[in-house]
Formats: sequence, C-alpha cells, structure tokens
Amino acid sequence: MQILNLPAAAEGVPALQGLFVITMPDCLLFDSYVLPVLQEASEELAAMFGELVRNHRDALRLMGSWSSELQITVESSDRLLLLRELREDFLLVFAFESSLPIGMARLFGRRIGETLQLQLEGFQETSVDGEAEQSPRAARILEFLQRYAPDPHASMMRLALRTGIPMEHLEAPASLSPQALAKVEEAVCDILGIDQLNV
Amino acid sequence: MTVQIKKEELFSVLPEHAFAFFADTPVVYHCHHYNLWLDQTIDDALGTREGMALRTRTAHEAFYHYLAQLVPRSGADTPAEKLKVAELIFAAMGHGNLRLHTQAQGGLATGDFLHYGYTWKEKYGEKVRRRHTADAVAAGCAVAATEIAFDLPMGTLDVAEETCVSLGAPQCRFQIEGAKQPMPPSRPVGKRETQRLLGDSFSGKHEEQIRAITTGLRSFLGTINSDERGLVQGFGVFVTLHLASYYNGISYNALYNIERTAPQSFDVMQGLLVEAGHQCGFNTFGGILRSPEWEGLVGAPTGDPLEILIGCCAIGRALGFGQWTIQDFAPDKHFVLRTPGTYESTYHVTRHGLASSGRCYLHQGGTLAAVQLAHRVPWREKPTFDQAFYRSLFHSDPQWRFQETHCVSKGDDYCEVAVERIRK
Repeated sequence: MQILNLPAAAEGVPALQGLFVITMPDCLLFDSYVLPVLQEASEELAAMFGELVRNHRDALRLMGSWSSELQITVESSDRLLLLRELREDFLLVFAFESSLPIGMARLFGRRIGETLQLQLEGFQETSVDGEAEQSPRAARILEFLQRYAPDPHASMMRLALRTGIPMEHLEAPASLSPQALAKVEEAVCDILGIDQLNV
Repeated sequence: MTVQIKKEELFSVLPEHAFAFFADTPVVYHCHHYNLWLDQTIDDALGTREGMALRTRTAHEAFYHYLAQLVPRSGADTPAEKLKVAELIFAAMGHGNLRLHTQAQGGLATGDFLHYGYTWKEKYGEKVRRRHTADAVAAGCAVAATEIAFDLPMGTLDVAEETCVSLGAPQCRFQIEGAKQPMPPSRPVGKRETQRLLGDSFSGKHEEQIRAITTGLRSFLGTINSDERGLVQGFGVFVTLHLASYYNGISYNALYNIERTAPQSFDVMQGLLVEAGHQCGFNTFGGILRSPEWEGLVGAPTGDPLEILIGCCAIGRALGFGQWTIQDFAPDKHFVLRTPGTYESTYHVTRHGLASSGRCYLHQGGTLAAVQLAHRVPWREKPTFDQAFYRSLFHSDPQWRFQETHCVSKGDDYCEVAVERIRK
C-alpha cells in the first residue's frame, strides 16, 4: 500500500538528491525517494541515520533535555544532510547538494515535513479508526518508552510484567482504563529511572 | 596459617552431562548480559523492593551452602581466615573485590568493581538512571560469609546495601546486622542431589567434533583468572562463575509467585526468562566465536550454519549448561537440540517437583540464540556483538520460533528444544 507520496512532497525542491523516511526507534527504512546512486544503500543508510539520531538523543537526555524536537545538519564537501524528527516515530533525512544554502535546506525540510505529517495522519486515521486520538496520552507514553528504553525490543514485555496488564491490552492503548494508565506511567518511570513523564 | 584455594582440586566436571561443580556445588559460567537481565526480570515481576529481597535472600542461601562446603577445604581456621577465603573466592569467580570487616554480630562490608553494579553502569549507565542498589549477590555472599566465619546458623544475620556504584557512589557498602526475622531452613541442591536425577547420557550428530572443541574450551576456561578488579573480562563480555542455585532460586520463586498472584503475566515472565538466555547465548556465544582464542582453537567462523551450531554446542557444554547434542538440523528450516538434563531442570525437580511444561528457560533462549547466530550473523564481516547489533537483529521480525518439546522438569527423560523457521 502506498502511504506517502514522496515525489509530490519533494516536487520543486532544488538540489535534493534523496529523501528517506525512517521508523524510530527501530531505524528501519519506511520509504525513500532517492537518486539511483543512493538507492542501493538505502536500508543501510536508514539504520545508520537512525542510530545517529538515537545517539544524539541519548546525549541530549544526559544533559537533561528530554522532549525537545531534534534536528541535525551534517555538512560535507559534496553533500548537505538534514536529519529531522517527524512526530516521535519517524525520522526524515534529506540529502541535498552542498551548494544549497543551509537556511534553504531547513526551509525545505520543514515544508516537506509538514506535508508528510499530514499524509501520515491521514493514514493513521484510516488505519486505526482514530484510536490514538481517543487516547493520545497512553499512546504517547508507550512511544516514549519505546524511544528511551535501553532494550526497546523487550520493553512492552517488561511493561506487561511490571503492571500485570496483558500485552494485547497494551497494544491497544485506547482501551486502557485510567487506573491501568496510572500503572503504566509508574512502570515506565521505573523502567527509565525518571521521576515523572512530560509527554 | 595461609589460606589457599586449590581450584584444580575443588573444581570438578561430570563430562558426560557437562555439569560443573565447585566444592560440590553446581556452578555455571554466565555473562553480565544474562546476569543483569535476569535480576531485572525478577524486579519487574515482583517490584523492586520484593525483587531485591528475593535476590538477596537467595544469594544468602546459595553462598551459605557453598561456603559451608568450601571453607573447611581451604585450611582456614580463624574467622579472619574464613572471611579471607570468601573474599578470595568471590573475586576468583569474577564477582569483584569484596572486603569483609565483620564480627559475629555483623559489621561493614565494602565492594569495588562488584560485577552487578559495575557492569550495570557500563551497560546502561549512560542510558537510564538507576534508582536502587544492584549487588544482591555480593550482599548475600557478605552475610553468608560472616555467618560461616563465626559458625552461625544461616539466617542469623541480615544485610542491606547502603551505597552502590550503579547509583553514582564511589564504592559499594553493605551493613550487616542481626536478623529481625528468621530465615526458613533450606537444603542445598548440590552435586549429590544433581547426580541422583541424571539418567544415562547420549550423543548426537557430529559428536566427535563437539567433544574435541569442548575439551579444548574447558582447558582454556581453566586458565582464565580474574584481573586485579576481581572481574573476568573477555569475549566482549564480563564473565562470572556463578552458583546455579542463585539463578534457579530467583527464577522459579519469582515465576511461581507470579503464577499465584498475577497468572495473566505468567507467559510474559516466561518470555523474559527466555530473553535472558537469548541475550546470553547471542552475546557470549557470539563473542567467543568471534574471539582470537576461538580462531586459535577451531579456526575463524566461515558462516556455515552447521559449523556455528557445532561450536555453540561445545560452548554450551564448556560453560556448564548441559550435554548439548545436535539431534536434527536442516539449514534454514529447523534445529533440534537435546541434552540429558540442564542445570535448570535438575534444580527444578529437586526443589519444585514436576511441572506441567518445560522449565529450562536458559536452554530455550540459548538454543534459539544458537540458531540466530548460525543464520543471521555475517561472520565474514567480523561483526561486533554489541547492543546496536543485537537491537538491529531482534527489534522486530523474529524469523524463528521454538518449543521445549521435552523437559526433565515435566518428567521426560531429557530436555529438548526444537527451533523452526517461520515461513511467511
């Protein structure tokens, strides 16, 4: 199923060599629109870009910055990279020619990001019947855990064991009662070693 | 009088069953990934306070029975000498440097580079903030050693870790004092109890190769000593020689507590116990297979799945996990690993009787990890077995499923795990 229309989002943007949409925190390529020279390495690049952002997030967190949006620019002699988070579960990476002024790159990055955000929201509404809208806090807490848990592959199992809430209930956060949500919040704080959740 | 611990006299192996003992106490090698994950799972199951209490109590009991066997064979006469033996053996097992300044009524113990606190800080310290102390094993050893040194019954004293390096303290400190509540008496699960349960051993496919590598690995492991920190660091992990009763005691007590109090969480707890074994198998086995020592002993891995599985069986045996044999293997399809028993099942039957399903979680996770190592690792690229690599492989898409088809814990003659490819 075609979820994003990357060519349309990138239409008219000069010096753009590639656009990658990467799922976080698993660092997997979700979609891409790239020149052939970058096509073959797309999966590998997605993993590397994802790790890069994870590491910067970890560094920010050590400095006490938990929830600010992150944007990274990488300048080399022949390329300008812009890494920009899109919501909490996607990362956009733009590869521009180095001749493009950095301010323009940021402007295009923001504009394309807004376009893709709308496309993703449309996809989410049609695919989960608005569950996230009904319980946005529960979903955000689980996304927060997935993003920051030291072993994200098992974080939902740990949460289930800590709270006594079955996995299938956690996988449908809209169904969580206020009492269950309180348990989840407490357990997420315990797992991450933080005093409160600012999500 | 000088105390001395003659490792070669105290360490023994049942080669046909691949079980190891120190002073007739079942021991097994495990890495910090396994140790930390298992402790964390106990705390996830019971809550931090109850989890720490169970872990400390279990370590107390396990080290009491162990030191009761070991200290009389060390030549130590005085309490000071007996405390020294405990310090020496604790460091020799890779658990760090523990200093016991205790008397019959208790006192202070200090720890530097204690395995749990130190390796937690190394692995997780930059990612999450810990909110409770980490060294239940050192605490249990400290209080047990004091009781043994002063000829006190088990449970006379109690212990609390007051500061811990995992919380940012420069040193770990333990306060030992008279117990407020009695500790229920327990009988050890030692060599004799283990042997009583063992049936005939057997072999599988490629037995000669596995046996030869196991012999070489055992010889190599026998030469490994802890460093000046009291740690054993090698193959990309921190290794401990640990008391099997500790692992089994915390795992099964917490599991059955969950079965009673939160039965809906029983399966997820089993899953996390398996994950401990999977992390152990992937990181430790992978680290060994990638090591220069392995290259010298066997040759660098070529990436042939069968070659990796043969290596894993030898490693499992050398670490004391049981007589891992290959019963069936078809590349990219299925793998069946069978052993006459595991250090888990023998303990389970002795302490908990028969179960309704398999209870060898290390065996399950370790076997699955062996298959993953055989099929998903690009060996020729010499990958680094770190957290990023682990996460990249296992965050999604499991690819293989497993089942413990037979288990001594449920009355079978052997333990067997079958792994098969998930076809989509």
